[in-house]
Amino acid sequence: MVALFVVLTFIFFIILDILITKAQKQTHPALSSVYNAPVFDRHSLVVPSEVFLSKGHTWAKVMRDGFVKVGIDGFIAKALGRLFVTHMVPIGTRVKQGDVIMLAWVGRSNLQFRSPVDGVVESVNPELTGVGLKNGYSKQWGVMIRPTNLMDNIRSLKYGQEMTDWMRTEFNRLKDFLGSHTPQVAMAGVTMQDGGTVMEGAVSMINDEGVKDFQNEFLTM
Amino acid sequence: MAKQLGLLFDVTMCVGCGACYEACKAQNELPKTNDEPLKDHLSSETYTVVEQYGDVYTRKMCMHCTDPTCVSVCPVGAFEKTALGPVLYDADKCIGCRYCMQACPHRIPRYEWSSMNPRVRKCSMCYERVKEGLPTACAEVCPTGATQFGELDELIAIAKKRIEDNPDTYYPHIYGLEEAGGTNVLVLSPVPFEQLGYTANLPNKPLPTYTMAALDKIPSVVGIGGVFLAGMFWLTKRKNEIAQEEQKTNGNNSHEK
Amino acid sequence: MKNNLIKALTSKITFWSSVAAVIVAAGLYSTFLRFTQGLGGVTNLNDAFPWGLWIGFDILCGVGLAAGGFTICAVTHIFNIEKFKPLTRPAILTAFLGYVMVIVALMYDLGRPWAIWHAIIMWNTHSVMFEVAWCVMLYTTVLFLEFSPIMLERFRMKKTLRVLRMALIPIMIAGILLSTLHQSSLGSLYLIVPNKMHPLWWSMLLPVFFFLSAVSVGFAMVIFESYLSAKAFNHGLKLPLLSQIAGVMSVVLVVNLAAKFIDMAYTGDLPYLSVMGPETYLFYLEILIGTLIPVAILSVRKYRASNKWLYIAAVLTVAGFVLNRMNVSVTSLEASSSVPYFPTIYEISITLMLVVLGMWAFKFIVRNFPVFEAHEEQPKIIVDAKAFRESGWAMQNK
Repeated sequence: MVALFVVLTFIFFIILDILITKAQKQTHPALSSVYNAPVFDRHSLVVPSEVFLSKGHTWAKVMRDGFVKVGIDGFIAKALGRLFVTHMVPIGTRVKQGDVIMLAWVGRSNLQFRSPVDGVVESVNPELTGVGLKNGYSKQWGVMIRPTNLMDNIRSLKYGQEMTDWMRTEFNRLKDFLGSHTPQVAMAGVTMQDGGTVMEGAVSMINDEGVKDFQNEFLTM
Repeated sequence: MAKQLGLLFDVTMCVGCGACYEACKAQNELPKTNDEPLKDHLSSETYTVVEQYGDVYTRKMCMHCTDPTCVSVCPVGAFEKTALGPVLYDADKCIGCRYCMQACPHRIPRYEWSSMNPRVRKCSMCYERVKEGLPTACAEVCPTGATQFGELDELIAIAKKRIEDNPDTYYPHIYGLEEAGGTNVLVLSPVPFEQLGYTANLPNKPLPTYTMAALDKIPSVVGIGGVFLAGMFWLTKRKNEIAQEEQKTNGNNSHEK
Repeated sequence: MKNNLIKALTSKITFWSSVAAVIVAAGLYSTFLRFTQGLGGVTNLNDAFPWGLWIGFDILCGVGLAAGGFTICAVTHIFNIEKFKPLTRPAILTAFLGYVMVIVALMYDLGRPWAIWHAIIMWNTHSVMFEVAWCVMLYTTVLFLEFSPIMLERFRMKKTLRVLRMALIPIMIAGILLSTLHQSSLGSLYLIVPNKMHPLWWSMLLPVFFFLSAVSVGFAMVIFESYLSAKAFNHGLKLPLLSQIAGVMSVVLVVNLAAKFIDMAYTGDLPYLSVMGPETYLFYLEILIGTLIPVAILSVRKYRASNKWLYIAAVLTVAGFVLNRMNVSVTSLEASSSVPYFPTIYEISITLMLVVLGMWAFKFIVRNFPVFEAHEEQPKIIVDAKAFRESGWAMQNK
């Protein structure tokens, strides 16, 4: 009977835990799929060398032939989860640093991504539109630009140690942002501040208003 | 080795007077625990009892096994099988794990549960007396000779002869001759022993052989296991390295993440 | 009024912490009684039943539930299956805390806890308990060493860390061997009571069964803890990894069950299965919830990949394991001892308190040390030309 008592106590606590979680309207990992997403923390952000990052989370890579490839960085890809680039600036357009060059949809809202450099759009990557953004770098470049003012532009971009430090602050800003925007309080608030991790794609769980705030806080230059 | 000493208890000769019970209490300076000796049971203050089963009486006490389970299981060696036969307990070594109580096939050791410095308690076959050549206190006072003290070999011979001479009186078995490898306390009875509260389903081999069978495997587990684990470590690590090198060489034209 | 009560009960922070506070308060009171009145004053243990809840749950289950530490170590560091590495640290921490809990529980259960050091100098190599004692001492040390890189990282003691890293593989191998010995030796403890123990559980293969069930429950605990941590620390679940572990676990469960029945057939104990009684029912229950149902759930790929069913399977495996250990330590011995045993409220409260303290310690350490982070000491935000090349960028530019 002792054996039965011990096992029933164990099962009792397990069931009580689930009931309490439900009563508190929190999520339980066994019952909610939000926990299934892969985890993204500041240690999993790998940035290739040779790229410059803009404050609006677009990257620029200067090619040997002098052109500049531009794309959306891995931070965004991870924070937003499934992100679809839907529009790109037409070939031949003259753009300035900070001009919108790409539009992407997340949920029912769109996000604007801005050019890190001045120049003329030379070509766009047809393979990017309509495909979910994965890690953001490598093949998933968006726009190729013939730069016109590269030396000046680069001064306001981040690279090397500065970039690493900046990425860290961005990560922390994201945690704060989620803390104040996620509808599921359990997912963000309380424990996230103590160095916890963020679910990949956490931003896509916030509402339209939140996406607008995200645009303002993370994608402006 | 000195001749092993032992006790022979003959149920047919016991009249249930309780003299052994009283003598044991006196010898070990134990407090009185029951007004009626025949109603008492073993405890940390009672090392032997006389029990009544219908019209026969039997004694319960430590059997002083030949290969004692308690000696084998005690992690700190607080039990000792002396050369003379008695099994002794040393409270100064004991850590109080009570494995001896759990393991004893005869359910003899008792514990001082309410003490803050508890000891295991049991009959010591009056070791202080027998090593001086005296009989145990219980055997000395027994008026009928039901409890008989002597050298183990002689006691076995006596027991065998009694059964041989009076096959109608005795159940044809000497309890303690083979039980769990044998004991230094032998019992003769007119009825089967399970009817008198003795453990009847004991194997004839000493119980420590069961655990020794497991303990004997430790060196090979450590040896073979260690080599196996180290080998697996080296193998899988090498495999990973090779896989990585291959990835590097092939990676330039085919690898894509 | 009623609404307020419900609100208070279900309010976010207070429910489990107030339950924990009550348990610890009760446990502390029982502790006071234990060390002022002796074992007799607080436990229902007696001469006929000298080992109870503390041995059965705190020691036997505690050690078994800590088995995740060595099984995951073997997977990641001996078989070098790197992808499971994120699970290693939490498992080692749990194992370490589990063993500390076992040692603390021993302090309650031993009649003379202050004499525990006797085991170091007074040797009796014929005693399984002696083996157990040494395994506990050595393996707790090993677990501490295995966990120490995390603390050294935290305090940035790089030199010590390098030295330790070099010794890590021998330490891990020692840890796995010690665990193997220890898990099985807890089963060997009961080899010596063939006449007292119910034949459904007693077998010369007890050490093997104890080892196999520890391996499977080690995996189950890794899964179970992942859920607890996911909830407590808002981590994601590494579901694909957990499903794979669950697959391995069900294989071990099946092997253990098969071994059990083959052994029973061989020794002729099978007829006991049809003798109905409390023991038989509990034996069936143990096999049903601890092996058959989890294996059935996990054999379906869809369920194995579902967070809900995976959780149910892990919880049932753990419950079945606990039932098995309690059956071995209590149920199987009750009939022959002829004295029924049920723990007192004091025994129960001390056991619950130890579990709560273990959870608190886990939470504290996770908050202050990089348990859930990658196993590299440097954060990975690096400008990494190699990773960049390997990610396929280079070819794009050719």
